[in-house]
Amino acid sequence: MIVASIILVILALIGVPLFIVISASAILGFISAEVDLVVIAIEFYRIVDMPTLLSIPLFTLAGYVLSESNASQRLVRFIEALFGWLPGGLAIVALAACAFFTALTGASGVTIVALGALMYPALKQGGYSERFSLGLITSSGSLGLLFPPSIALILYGVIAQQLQVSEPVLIDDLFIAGMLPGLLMLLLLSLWSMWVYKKDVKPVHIKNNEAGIFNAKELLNATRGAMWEIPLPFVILWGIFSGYFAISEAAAVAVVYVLVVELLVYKDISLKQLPGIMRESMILVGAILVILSASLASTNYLIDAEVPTHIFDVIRAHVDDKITFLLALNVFLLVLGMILDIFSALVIMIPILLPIAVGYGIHPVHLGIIFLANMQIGYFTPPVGMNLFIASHRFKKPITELYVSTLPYMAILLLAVIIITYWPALSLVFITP
Amino acid sequence: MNDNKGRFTKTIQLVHKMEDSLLFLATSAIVIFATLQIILRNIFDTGFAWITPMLGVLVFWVGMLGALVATREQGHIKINVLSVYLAEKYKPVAQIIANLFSSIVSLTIAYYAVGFVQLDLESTTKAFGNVPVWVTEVIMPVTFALMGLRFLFFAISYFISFYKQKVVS
Repeated sequence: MIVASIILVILALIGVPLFIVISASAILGFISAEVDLVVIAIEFYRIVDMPTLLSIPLFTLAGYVLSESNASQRLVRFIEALFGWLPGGLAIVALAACAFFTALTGASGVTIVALGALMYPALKQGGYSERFSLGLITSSGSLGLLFPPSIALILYGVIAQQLQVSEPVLIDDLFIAGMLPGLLMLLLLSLWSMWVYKKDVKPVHIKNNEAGIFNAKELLNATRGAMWEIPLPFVILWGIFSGYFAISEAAAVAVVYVLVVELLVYKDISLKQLPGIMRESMILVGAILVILSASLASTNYLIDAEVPTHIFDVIRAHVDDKITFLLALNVFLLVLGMILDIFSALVIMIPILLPIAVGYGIHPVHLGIIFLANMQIGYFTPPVGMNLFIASHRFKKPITELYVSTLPYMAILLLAVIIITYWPALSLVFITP
Repeated sequence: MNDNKGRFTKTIQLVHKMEDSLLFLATSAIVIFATLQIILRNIFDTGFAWITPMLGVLVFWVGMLGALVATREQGHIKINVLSVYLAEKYKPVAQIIANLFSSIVSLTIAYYAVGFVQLDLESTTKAFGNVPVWVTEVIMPVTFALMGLRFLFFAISYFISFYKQKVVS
């Protein structure tokens, strides 16, 4: 069994798709337990009975349609008119815009591709150094994972609900819990940007805004330009939190809203382009769902074999307090985030981690926030963080240059992760027990 | 021979087109029926009991078909650490092994998925409306078999180009 596990890890490292690796481990597990392998197919099919999953294709489609349209330009212009005049305002614009897009598209690199082309030249034009601008775009590619309607948060909720180890984990609760930690990250990065601006950047004349001067007319024009897209986040938030809609219904409303606005109002996207966009977005959805399916099978085996209990006993023997456990968890997740993308990490690790964390008295909702906050950093941790490769490819820069440029952002976000981990109230304050 | 090759390419293209069309249809159906359900519930205070289970099945189909198309486009989530740092001459070997292994696993799942569908073939259980449950499950053996074949083709084509390279050098 140990030999088989090592071979599977090696296969994963040479590029076997993860859903194949997870399926293979489930197959081996069931063979050793002498269970008929038809059970694999039965586990795959269980996805049919998870109504929340409906929101994943819908939100992803909405995000892809938005990123194919000119929404990013209109929204950046609007946020720029709103905040661009502040010292460091342009950098804050980039941070806020990236967070918004990532919440919708789930840090799949879409943010860097869709917004990078827009924000990277703008930042350089605004007088920021190349290193600062590259670092900001690359590390912001995963910023926003904690904001609704983050697909990663939905997936965490779905997996936690399957496990039934504690009180039910509601997705609404996860969305609420992610808000303050997400804002904390935005705030810290904004402060850093303002400090860099004060120190290094000479105020220059940017497109529509004189640095330091608020332009009411531009704000009015920019608002008029993005009039139909500005309500979108509020429509989604209202849809989720009013209790009027289920999450999947809020997702359907978001898709219809985005389709009407981009196809009929702005006419950025023609009906002919739609099948292509749908196809691209559903490739991502397929890649996520097939990993989830495969993990349902492997998790079933893990739980039957009481693997989480055994691991918990081992850890319990060495770690007796919550703080030490959290510290170990942070280190572990940072390393994990370097190697695995967020979706695979969720489906593989949560079934093992959640029962253990609950054993140490950690709230399941809090664990979700810690998990995602850590994984967010992994996206740009050298040497193999995924967004480093995407940014290197997108901006034609050597990967080593990106390692250096993202370092300050990593330090700041690590600070945020520490605060988020050891101050549970930040996540849980609005959650009614 | 050439005629055969042409026919083979055409068949492959046809399969690709069918996959793409089916994925498009299923995605559109999700958007349309999810919206319809909201309108019915909130405006007309009514609804159809079959919509929710059908949406569940459609999500499964979109997932399976999306994964199938992802195989074609190398769009699956992988770790890919070694292939970045692996010496150039070992890369094709890694690709051959990776694709061959993926093919075996996919075909194994396809085989047992056929068994799963067979189990439900006799059953009178309906997935939704009048649709028997096996009809909704049939996508699984089909997509996994196609994925398995696709991985096998990748492995073979990597092997051929690797072999040619060796002969040249």
